Amino acid sequence: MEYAVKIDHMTKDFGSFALKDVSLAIPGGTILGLIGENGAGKSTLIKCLLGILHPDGGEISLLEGEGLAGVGYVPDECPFPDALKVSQAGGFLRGMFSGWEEALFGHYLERFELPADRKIKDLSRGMKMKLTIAAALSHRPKLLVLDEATSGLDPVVRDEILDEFLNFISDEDHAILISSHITSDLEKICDYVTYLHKGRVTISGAKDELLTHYGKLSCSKADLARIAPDLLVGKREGEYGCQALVKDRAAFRAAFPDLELDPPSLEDLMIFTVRGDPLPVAPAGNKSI
Amino acid sequence: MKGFFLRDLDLILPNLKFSAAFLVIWGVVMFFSSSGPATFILLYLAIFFTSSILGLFNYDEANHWQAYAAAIPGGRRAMVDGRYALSLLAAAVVTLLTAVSALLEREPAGLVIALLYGGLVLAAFDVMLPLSYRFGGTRSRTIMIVVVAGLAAAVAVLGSIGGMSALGGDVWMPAAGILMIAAGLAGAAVSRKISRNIMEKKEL
Repeated sequence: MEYAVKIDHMTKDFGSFALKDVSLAIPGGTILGLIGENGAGKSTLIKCLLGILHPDGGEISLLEGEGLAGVGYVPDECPFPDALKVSQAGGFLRGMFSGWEEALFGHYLERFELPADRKIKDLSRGMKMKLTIAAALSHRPKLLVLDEATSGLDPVVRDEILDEFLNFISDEDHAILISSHITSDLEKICDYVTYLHKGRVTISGAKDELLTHYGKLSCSKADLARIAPDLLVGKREGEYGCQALVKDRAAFRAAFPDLELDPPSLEDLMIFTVRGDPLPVAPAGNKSI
Repeated sequence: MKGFFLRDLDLILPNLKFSAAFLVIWGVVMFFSSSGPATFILLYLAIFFTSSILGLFNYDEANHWQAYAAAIPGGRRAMVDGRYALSLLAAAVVTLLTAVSALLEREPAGLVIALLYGGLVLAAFDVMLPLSYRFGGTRSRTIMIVVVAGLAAAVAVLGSIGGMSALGGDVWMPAAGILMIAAGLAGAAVSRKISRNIMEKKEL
């Protein structure tokens, strides 16, 4: 499988917010992390990809035509009713997915230490998320789509879940699309990163290349003043010094060999890009996405 | 569809167990009394099934279930079909229990009333399910109150029809019963198609 997901020039307009001309591709055997601030359009993009929302334009290819049958979806909240037991969820999910494997579900319940006879309302948020992931994995999907699945979880549970994703991706026919604003998680596991900002793809590419291409500069105000603005993505001026995100580390080093550059984090990419914008003015009745 | 049906059934089952206990108590009371038609318990059952199944839309909203279902192949249709199957089952149970009640009370007209009750329950679902899919459980709750009140009034009226057999009802009542259940079933087919169309287009 060359591409698990291919999106070309997708648009979705809500009036007060729009996804504009979004393109991305996830090669088989890789993980793409979708980053962006709250309301940037990450969930909207995922919903358009899965047909939960209907895009206004553009092309979407899912598992090279296989479609939703090969997808395991993990939304940001557990979709199973609190009133039911874990075993009951397994019971009805068996009737919903053609490729459901009861033994595999049992395996994940055991692995995630989820008691089958416990009511879902009595599970912690981390356990509910594990149940949702177990459900997504138990019909042997090729593509896992996770929308803020690790948000609100403690670091131990997050790490456990990330390990499971790495295990899943060890099959080259598998791929993962994961959205999160916890960029440290994505930095650990992603091969590709797409940064959505105000409904547009602002930065996209292989994670390692991005982190090599951009540079984080820490310098004095005087040093910052002599740098041409077009070399920078954004800057933060403080009382004791300045920081800036440099667009092209190699070109910058050639122009300013005396200034030290550090590798940026994904969080740096996000923060400096957002700070380069004019202050947002929310219109009355703005629709939350 | 099976999985969606099971999920809905699992959710209303605890209420159903409570109702079963209620039915047993009622049965014991009926056994020792010489009262007339079992209008109250049938009314209760009709309202119970209608409100329980329509109440499932609140569970859907609380868990963003419809969005999850839409991400499953054929999920939008299967979700609708599962709920209609459950509503048909509910109408069948009301019809059956009304018929059993009529047999226990040796009231031949009760068998026709059973068809009328079943048809009424179906009619309530035929109207309410598309509205709930279109407007959601919360917004359609007001409409549901009106429908359930209408259902209660209709069942109460039908409960008094037992005495109408003396007014020539022997002739028109069987036809009305068959017509009502047929209309309810035909309505269910149309209603399901409308609900499917609503869900296919719905942005979740």
